[in-house]
Amino acid sequence: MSSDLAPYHSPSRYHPLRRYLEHGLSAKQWAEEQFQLEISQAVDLDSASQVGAEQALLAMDTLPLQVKDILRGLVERVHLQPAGRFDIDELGCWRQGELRINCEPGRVASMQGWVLEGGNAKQMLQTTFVHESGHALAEDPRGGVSLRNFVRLLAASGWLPHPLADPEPFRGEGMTPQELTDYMLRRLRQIDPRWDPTLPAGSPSHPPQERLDMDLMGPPGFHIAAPNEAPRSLGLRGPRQLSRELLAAAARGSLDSDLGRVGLSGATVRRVADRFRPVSSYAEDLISETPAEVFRQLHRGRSVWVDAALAMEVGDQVLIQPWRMAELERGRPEPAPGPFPRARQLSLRR
Amino acid sequence: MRTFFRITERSSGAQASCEFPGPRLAGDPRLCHLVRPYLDSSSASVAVVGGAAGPTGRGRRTIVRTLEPGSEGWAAERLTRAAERWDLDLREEWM
Repeated sequence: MSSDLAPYHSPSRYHPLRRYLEHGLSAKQWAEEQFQLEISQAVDLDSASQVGAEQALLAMDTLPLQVKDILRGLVERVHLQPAGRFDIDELGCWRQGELRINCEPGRVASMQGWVLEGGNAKQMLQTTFVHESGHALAEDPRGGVSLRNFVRLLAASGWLPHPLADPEPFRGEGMTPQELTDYMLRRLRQIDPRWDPTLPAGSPSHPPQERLDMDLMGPPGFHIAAPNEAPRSLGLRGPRQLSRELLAAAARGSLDSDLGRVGLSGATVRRVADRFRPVSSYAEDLISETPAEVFRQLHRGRSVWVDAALAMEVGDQVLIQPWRMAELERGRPEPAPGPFPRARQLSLRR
Repeated sequence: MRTFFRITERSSGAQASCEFPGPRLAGDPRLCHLVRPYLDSSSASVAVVGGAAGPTGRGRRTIVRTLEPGSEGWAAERLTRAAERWDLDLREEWM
């Protein structure tokens, strides 16, 4: 494995924020210099939002090194904005090199009544940075995650079609994760040949980004007519949703006979559907959330969910290992750039 | 649909289960004693950060959700916290 797969890896270190503060420099200057990006603070920040914006910058100081590298290598601008600029439940957002961070997590509707102490707020902000960096890593065209690896993560997280809509993945004792990946990619290319497994998931050569969710998850109730016919969607479902649907059909008494018509047995389908699980229930909400959630869990530590072991293992190979290899290949990192106190800069100019 | 959470202590292999609707804890008494406080329904407003995004043109989002005490999602979150604290493994099964 080559470090070419980790273009976001930075060979130089980071100065801690306190070094800047000791020199009388601002946290904003620290963030801009160390992460080589622009920090944009909304002009309408009130005093509470100002405190939140400061906390967001403090939260960046103790992020995992890989996340710092993603900020430095993939993110061009971080917008620190008040809660009013976000949906009522939203903490942050990533899109094409730009991160928007809600610097007032205490004003998010779901958080009302939940006391946000300083530590909790920082943890919230850090989680937002890590999760959004996961999106950037998985979907930015300059990132290191190919569409093939993106789909591998889905296969390892238990995403499957309904067996009546597409029985193929359930034949025998079910496809291996590798077979499932190849199968999903083949079906995806039947939908639109522009889906290229070798390109980054977010490549501009692919169909528009929002199509990825649609082509993989599809509209509810869609049925694939025949294996050789081009599907409109793969109709993938998270394991929890699929189990609910199978159990509901079993309770109606129709499941075994329906499965029998496509050459499957209920017991086999249940076994296949129960093999792999995502790292969290949030990773089941949308296809595009799975890699970002795996990334978040990997930086949180081990997953306590034993069925998510494969998702964590593939996530480590796909999202972490290229970066780790680059670190090994490049040897000892260079010293961190800065800080450059303004007084010293002036004297140098003379 | 009934949900079972199977709980295993990594160091000893001791096992317990937590069933929903409920929650009803059963199995190794020591393990139940460790987990029970996390399922106290007074832990009402548990807020969780997770990913959930709309496939909109606005980009990928991080959101917060409040989980209703006693709900399955709430139990999963509370058991996750117990598992992280006491080094447990969890497995969810449906019947």
